[in-house]
Parts: sequence; structure tokens; C-alpha cells
Amino acid sequence: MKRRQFLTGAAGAALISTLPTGAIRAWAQSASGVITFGQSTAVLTLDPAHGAFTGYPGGYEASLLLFDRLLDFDADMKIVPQLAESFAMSEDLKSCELKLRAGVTFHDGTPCDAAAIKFNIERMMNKDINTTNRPLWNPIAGADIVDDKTLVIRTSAPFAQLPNTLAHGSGAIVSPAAIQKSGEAGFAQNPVGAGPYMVEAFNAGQELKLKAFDGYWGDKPGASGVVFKFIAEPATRINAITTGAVDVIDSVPVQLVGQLGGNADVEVVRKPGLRPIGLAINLTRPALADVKVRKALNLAVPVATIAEKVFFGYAKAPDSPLAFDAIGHKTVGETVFDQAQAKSLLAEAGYKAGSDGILEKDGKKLTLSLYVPEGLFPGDVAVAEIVAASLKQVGVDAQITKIEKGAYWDHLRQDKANLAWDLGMFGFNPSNASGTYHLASLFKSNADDNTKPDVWNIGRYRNAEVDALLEKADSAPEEAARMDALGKAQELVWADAPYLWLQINENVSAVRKPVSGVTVMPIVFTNLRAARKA
Amino acid sequence: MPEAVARRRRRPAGRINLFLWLGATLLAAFAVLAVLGERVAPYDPTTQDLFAMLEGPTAAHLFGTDNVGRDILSRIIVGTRFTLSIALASMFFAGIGGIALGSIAGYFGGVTDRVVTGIIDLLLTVPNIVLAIAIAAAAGSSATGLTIAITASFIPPLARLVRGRVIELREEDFIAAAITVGMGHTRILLRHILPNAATVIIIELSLNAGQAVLIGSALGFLGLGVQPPAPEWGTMLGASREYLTVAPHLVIAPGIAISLLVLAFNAFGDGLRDVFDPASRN
Repeated sequence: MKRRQFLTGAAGAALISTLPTGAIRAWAQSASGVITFGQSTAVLTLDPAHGAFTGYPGGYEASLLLFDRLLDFDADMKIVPQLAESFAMSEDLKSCELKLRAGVTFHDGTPCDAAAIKFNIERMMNKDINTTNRPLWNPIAGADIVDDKTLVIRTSAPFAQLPNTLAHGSGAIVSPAAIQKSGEAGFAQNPVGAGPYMVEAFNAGQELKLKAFDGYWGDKPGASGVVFKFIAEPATRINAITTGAVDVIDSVPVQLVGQLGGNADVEVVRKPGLRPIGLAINLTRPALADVKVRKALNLAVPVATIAEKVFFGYAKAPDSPLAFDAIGHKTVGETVFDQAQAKSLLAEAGYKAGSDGILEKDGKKLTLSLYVPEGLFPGDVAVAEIVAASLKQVGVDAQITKIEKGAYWDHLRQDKANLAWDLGMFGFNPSNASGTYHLASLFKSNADDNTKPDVWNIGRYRNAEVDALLEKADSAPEEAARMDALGKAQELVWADAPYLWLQINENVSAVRKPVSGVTVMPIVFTNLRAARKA
Repeated sequence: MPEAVARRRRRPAGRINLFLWLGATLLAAFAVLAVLGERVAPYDPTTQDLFAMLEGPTAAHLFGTDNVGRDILSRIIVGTRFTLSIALASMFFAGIGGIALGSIAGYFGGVTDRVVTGIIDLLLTVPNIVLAIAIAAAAGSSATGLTIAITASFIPPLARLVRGRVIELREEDFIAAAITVGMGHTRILLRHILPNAATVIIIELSLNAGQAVLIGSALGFLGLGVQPPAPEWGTMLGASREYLTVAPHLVIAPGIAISLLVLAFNAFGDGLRDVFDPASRN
């Protein structure tokens, strides 16, 4: 041992003896340069195909470190290059030319070249291998190698969202040699990518240990390793970060954020999500087909107060059918709480108060069945209770039916004859951040309103003008024209009020010093790719 | 043995009845709350005040307010009716079902006995809370669903108990006498056997009522109770779990209510046993 090292060590030992035990533990950890992430969901599989990085979102969060993709989303969901140095969509939106980065290798040392990428695109196109995220991959028709640095990806129809697909988590580029070695079934437990970290040990469902990949093409990883640890209970995660047992935690329940507030070592990281929560309105009901009634419902609920009180400010009232960070979001209105106006709109629609204070029209009471799951959306039951109480104040009788969360989606997505609900709580999370994808999934007319909805247009919204605008938003050659069409579509949908819009929740994570650079992406993921441990 | 029985019977009555009185008094108090409900509750149990949510106990709200600003005391009081009526109704129906199955099996014996006992044994292999969850999930979250679930989970053990008692009784001389004089099966069962089995059934039912309260609350806790915003103790516990560390008073009030009611039923049942069935003490 050299003299200087010995002295530093001795000084350190002297310092330790004066420190409280918590500080020692934190100090000991920081010295190792390994970041520990206490995740609310377990990492089960690590393959973009075969179910795509289960469990959600834990698997995706690990995949962000393990794999590189052709394109990437930055913190504001803008698309930026990653393995591709640049990309250009063709005029007809039916192909995309990508210039590939040279000299990239996978963790197993094999080259990540045009052939490897073509292999990946074709693998994800295969419906038998890639069973999830089909709407993102179905339009892709093939990949052609132009030269060893250039690749063209073709689609069967104009598909402006192709870059979103490539930047989506399922666009992770895997090592073809590793697939050959482990087989299609074995890869998910023995993943090999070209990302900044590689697998050191993987115990599915419990712990994933990653170490920095020395051969990474980009900036040197900020830590010598990252450990993903599954901690299911929120209170346990909070204890773990308070004591320094972990450096990062995700999914902090808003009512518990206060507990971290007094801790100078812990920083709360927050980001509004991409999933606006609302009550889908069943437009097949005569009473709800009247836009005045739907507007009145929206005016009757104090959404801003719900965001402020129930979610302690970690939620916001929406200003469009899309969340703030969805690509193409445009502010098209505001959430107003005005029960007097709600009452006058209902009166205009022909409703009069009956003897029990509930509004009626032609002898029929305005009684609505409100379906809500338990534990599927943040504070779902409490929010439903507040909505019901608020609607009661304007004379609308909303009866809550609480549905077990496993059975909930089936109740929502029903053929017309079996729709039991008038108002159903729902929120759509566009995993590729595309506003067009989001709006089309929810508000594009169904081919046949009597059968099950094509995607998630569960309330049977139908507006030919919106359909035309969404078509344009998907296929207009100019990006400005596409965004313009999407903006207009948001205005029309907002004005038609096919939802009782509620809140947009924030994703809340916490980071302990000295770790920095952790970001929370609007699509739920806590991203440690740029995290550093000094 | 006769001396031992005689000695037990001489036990002072006052001490034996303490449990009974404690249980009966508590049950009576809960019954009054259940009947009066909204009329004695200080606030409407469903009126919210988002600007006064998660408040600790104060003079205005003795048990504090919940996550949407409702008065917890009022919700506990009004919730009594639901829990108590579920417990009583399920014990009533479990009693009918258990007595019918148990006495048929025990009295007729033979193939009937083997078939009925077989079914009961099959059901007994499933823990009653699991059985209740399965039934409640199928029947949906409603008072009817919960009652069916709890009833069904208590019929098998009760039927077993009744069967044993009936087998014991039908070997007695007075039954043989009744058969000899040509009395019908129904009459023998109703007039001679069941009255003699009544004490053991009543004691079992009152003890089971406490269990029924617990199972009902557990199902409510798991989200299979009433539909919101109706107050129910188990559901209140479930909803307050997330707030345990920031607002523990949300958990305490329904916790106390459930414990007290279970205690009341258990004390009452124990007291009854001491009075009617001294031989079974210890």
C-alpha cells in the first residue's frame, strides 16, 4: 500500500467513527459507484419481443440501460438519434432512411451493423415472435440494406409515426448472435444489447445487476453498475431511500411524498404523465347524446380542486384531450368549475328538478351508472366518489359501481347491447408519445358501433370531421400540416365533450444524494441512463 | 362423573354471567346504533369537504375526517347497520342450511349421510375466507353477495356439528320410544331431536357471528364490500391503508369498531355456553 493511500484510509476511518450509522452506509455505497434502484414492479423478462419487457414498467426501465435503439425520446418526448446518426422520412411517409452509427458493438462483441438492425426489424415484424405492441409494428413492411451505413425501413401505408415506433422501448436492438445462442425462448433471461450497461446477474422477479459496458460507443456510463431491486410496498421503498439502502425509488404515492420533504438528502423528481384520466361518456344513451348535458357534467366537477387536494398538487387539470407532453398536444380549452352554469345548461336541455331534487325529463330521471375500478388508476374510487357527490349537487344522480380491476377492461370494452355503464373511468397511455395515436385510439369512429370498439372508442364517439383530420394528421407529408390537423382535431373533440375530463397525474420518483441525472419520462419510466454517482 | 357434573353446576351464577352481560350490553348498544344510524350520526356520512380532508380527531370530528373529508364517526355509526345485519342474516341462513343438512345426514345415516358428509368434507377443505372470496367475486360486491358468501362458508362446519349431535341423540332411549309408537321422521326430528340440539347450535352461531363480522370486513377490505359511497368498516380500512403513515386515525376508528363487535359476539357466545352448557367449560 502506498503511503498516500494509507493516509487517506486512516483519515477516512477517523471520519467514519464520528458519523451516524446511516451516513456511513450511504458513504460506503457511494464509494462503490453502484446505483441501486428500488422498483415498484419486478423485472421479469428482457426481450422486446415475446411480451416485451415484463413486468411493466420495471422491465422497460431496465431495457433503457441494457439496449440502444435506432432513435430515442429525450426528456420532453422529442425524438432524437441514438444508434441512427440521422433519419429522414420520405415524402410519401412510406419509408424512412436511416444513417447508422459506425463501429458499434454489442455486449458480446459482435458488430451492431446494418445486417443486425435488419434482423431486428424483421424479428419485430414477425407476429409469432413479437406478440405485443402490434399497432406500432403492423404498418412496417420490411427493411432494405442500402450500404453498410444506410438502412431503409418501408411501410405498407403512409405511417408518420414510424420514428415513434423506432424510439419506443420495443425498438430495442438485440444481438442476433445472442438470439442464436440462447434461442428465442432463452433470450429474455440472457439479454444482450448495445446499451451503456450489460448484465452481470439476473434473478428474474427479484434483482437485476448491471455493470458498465466498457465498449460503449457513447459517453462513458455514469456509474460502475446499476442494481434493479423489486420492492413492492411503497412504504418500504420510502424507508429504503430514507435509510440509504437504495439510491432511487419510483412510484412514490402522492400522500407519502410529504415524508420525504424534510430529508435534505432526497430529491423528489416529478413529471406529468401522458395519461389523462377521465370518465368516458356512453354516447349511445339518449340523455348523454345531448352535448349540453355532457358540457354540464364537465362544469359540475371541481377538477382543479381534485388535483390540488386528492393528489396534493401532484396532478393537473387538462387543457386538451391529450396530455401536456404528448407529441402534438395543443391547449384548446380549460377546465372550468361552474355549477350554476351547469344547472342552466341542464335546464336548457329540458331537465327539471323532481321532488327528490334529481333532475328529470319526460318523467325519466337523470340517473347515471358510474363504473370505476379499484386500484387501476390513481385514487380511482375516491375521485369517483367526489364526482358523484359533485354531480348530485347539480341534480344528477350518479350511482357508483366498483369493479374488480382484473375484470374492468371487459366491462368497458363491450358490444353496444351490453354496455352497462353511462360513465366509465378510463385513461389511455400512448406509449409511443404520439398524440395522433392517442386521439385515433380513443376518438376515431368505430367501423361498427354495435360490436366491440375497434380500439378504445368505448363511448361510440362519431365525428366525420375528426376522422378526416386524424387521417390527415397521420398522412400529410408536411409535419406542420400534420400537427395543424391534430390541433384542430383536439379542438373539435374538446368541444364535443365525449369525456368528463378529470386529472392528469404526475409520475413521482425520488433520488438520494449523491446520485444525479435521474429523469422521469412522461411515459411512467424512471430513466437511469444518464444517472451518475459521484 | 355424576359428582363432577354436580360440582360444576354449583358454580356461582354471577361470575358465569359476566361475559354474557358484557356481550349483551355491547350488542344492544351496536343494535341501537344500527337502528338509529343517520339519526344519531353527527354528520351525513356521505357529505364531503375536500378542504377538510385527512384531519385528525377534533371536537368537531371526534374520529377525524377521511380522504375526501367525510366525518369518520358518522361513517362508523351508519356502517354498523350494514355489518350487523350481514352478520345476523348470514348466521340465520347458515343456521337453517346447517341444521337441515346436518340433521338429515345424522338422522337418516347410510347413503344419505355419506353423500352429505362427503360434500361437507369437500367444502371444509377450502378455508372459509377463500370460499367467501370466490363466492363474493362471483356474486358481485353487494350486501346480497356478501351474505351469500359468508352463509356458504359457515354451513359446512355447522352441518358437521349438528350431524354429530343428532347421531348422539338418535341413540337415546326416548327416540327409540318415539319410533316404537310410530311417530313420523319429521316429527321426531322437529319435536325431539332439534330442541335437544338447540343449545349447542345457538352457542355455535353466536360464536360464529363474530367470525362473520371479521370475514365480512375482510371482504370489504379486499374491495368486495358495499358500493361507494356507502360506509362499511372493512372498506373504510381498505381505503385508509394508503394513508397509514400519514393519517393513522383513518385506520384506528374502523379497527376499534370491528374489534368491539367481534368481542361482543364472542363474549355473548361464551356467556351463553357457560349458562346453558356448563359441561363444555374448559
